Amino acid sequence: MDDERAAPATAVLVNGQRREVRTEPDTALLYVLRNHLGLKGTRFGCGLGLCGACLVLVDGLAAYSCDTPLWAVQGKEITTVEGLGTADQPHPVTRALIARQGAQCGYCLPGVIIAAAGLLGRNADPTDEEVRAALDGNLCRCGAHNRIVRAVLDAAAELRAGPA
Amino acid sequence: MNPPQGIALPPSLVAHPRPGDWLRVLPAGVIEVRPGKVELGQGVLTALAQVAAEELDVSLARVRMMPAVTGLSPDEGYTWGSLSVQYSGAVLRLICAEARGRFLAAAAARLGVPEDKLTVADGQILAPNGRASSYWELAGAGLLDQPATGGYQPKPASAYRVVGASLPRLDLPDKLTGRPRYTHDLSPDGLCHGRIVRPPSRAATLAHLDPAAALALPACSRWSGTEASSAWSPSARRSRCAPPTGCAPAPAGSAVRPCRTPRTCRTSCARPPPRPLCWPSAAALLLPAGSPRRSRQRTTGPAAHRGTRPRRHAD
Repeated sequence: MDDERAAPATAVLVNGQRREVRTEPDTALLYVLRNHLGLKGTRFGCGLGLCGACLVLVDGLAAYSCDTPLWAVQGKEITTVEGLGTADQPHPVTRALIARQGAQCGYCLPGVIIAAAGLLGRNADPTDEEVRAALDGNLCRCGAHNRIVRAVLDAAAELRAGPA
Repeated sequence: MNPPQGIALPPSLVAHPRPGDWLRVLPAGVIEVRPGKVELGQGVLTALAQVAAEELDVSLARVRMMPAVTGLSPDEGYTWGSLSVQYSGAVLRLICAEARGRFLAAAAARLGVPEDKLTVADGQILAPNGRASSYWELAGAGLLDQPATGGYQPKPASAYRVVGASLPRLDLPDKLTGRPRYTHDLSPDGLCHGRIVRPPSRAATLAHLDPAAALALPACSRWSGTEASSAWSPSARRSRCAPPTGCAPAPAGSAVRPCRTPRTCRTSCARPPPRPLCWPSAAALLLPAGSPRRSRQRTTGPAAHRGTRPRRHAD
């Protein structure tokens, strides 16, 4: 719903689709995604760019959407967790997390999936340590960390092996 | 069937004795189960689905777990203390055993076969003479309307096939693919506009809030602001927040670099913020005309752990 009727229209490219939103240019990307575009997969965690729950890919790099104003993503390609894979064909990281049951509450996981997808986009064969370093900015207080790391390594192996 | 000796009905079942409050059989062959406990990541929906599938002799795929909704679901109090399987599971075990027994009795009468000659296979009730019925065929008979008696013996643990198995959690695919599953994903019926407005930093207080644009929306004519946290008191709302200071310069080549220290500005360091941002401390709700000013939640505790009144998207 566009609540700021008087605000200028801004075009954003989200999950391969060009969408138009009316809001102030300094609105956090997170709120544009959740409120204006109805993409609820990206989570509000801390609102301070510290916990990683709100991560999205901006031109392939993980960025905190809670701390990124709308004007800063003009002309850039935004990918949210909804844009990774489809319902029938989830992203390999998502599939591996389900297979490993790498979650308790699951709240942080869209951010984890984004960070992991970003990592695998630039490093097809990460070590255990590299995965842990890449996910260092994703806080999970449930304690699913080791399952998550193993799932990311599974997904990397699957991606290297190519389509089944 | 012999009533279990000396077993008191679980408190949740005493409070909500109608099996139909917990269980619904849909004509399409789906078993809707509605516990009063909430999935918080402990996997309880999956565990309770296993209990229901076990006692009803149906596959897990037929069981649809419904979200707890205030005013509709059985009131099982808070979801706390690792008690969900103990309380809700105990109820479902008895309810489902009783439902199975009632369906079997009805099928026996319909098929003209003694009850103890009938078997249940994935909800199909089979007679030795080849005739058959099913839970869903008998669903319209009101068999779940009478209060539970506790007089139907659940299975012994030695007969378990589904309970005790470590199964993938039913809620995870939604949570991992971004489908709405959490309280802040709610879109309550009748809400024409709603925003949770959060402060950009610890020191921020509400300076002003202009609901005019939202009030101009069709059907939006009432304003209802709800304080999100007592830490930001209404008396502090009129004070101004400090202008942003201390943004570190953006690293070379970095298009989007969130400001890190100190946390006083709300925007990227790649350019100075256009103006000081003062964020409200309230979770603001605009309700349609005629709505009660406050939602009629019957709970006073933390809503996140209760079945909340608004309907969820999915659970």
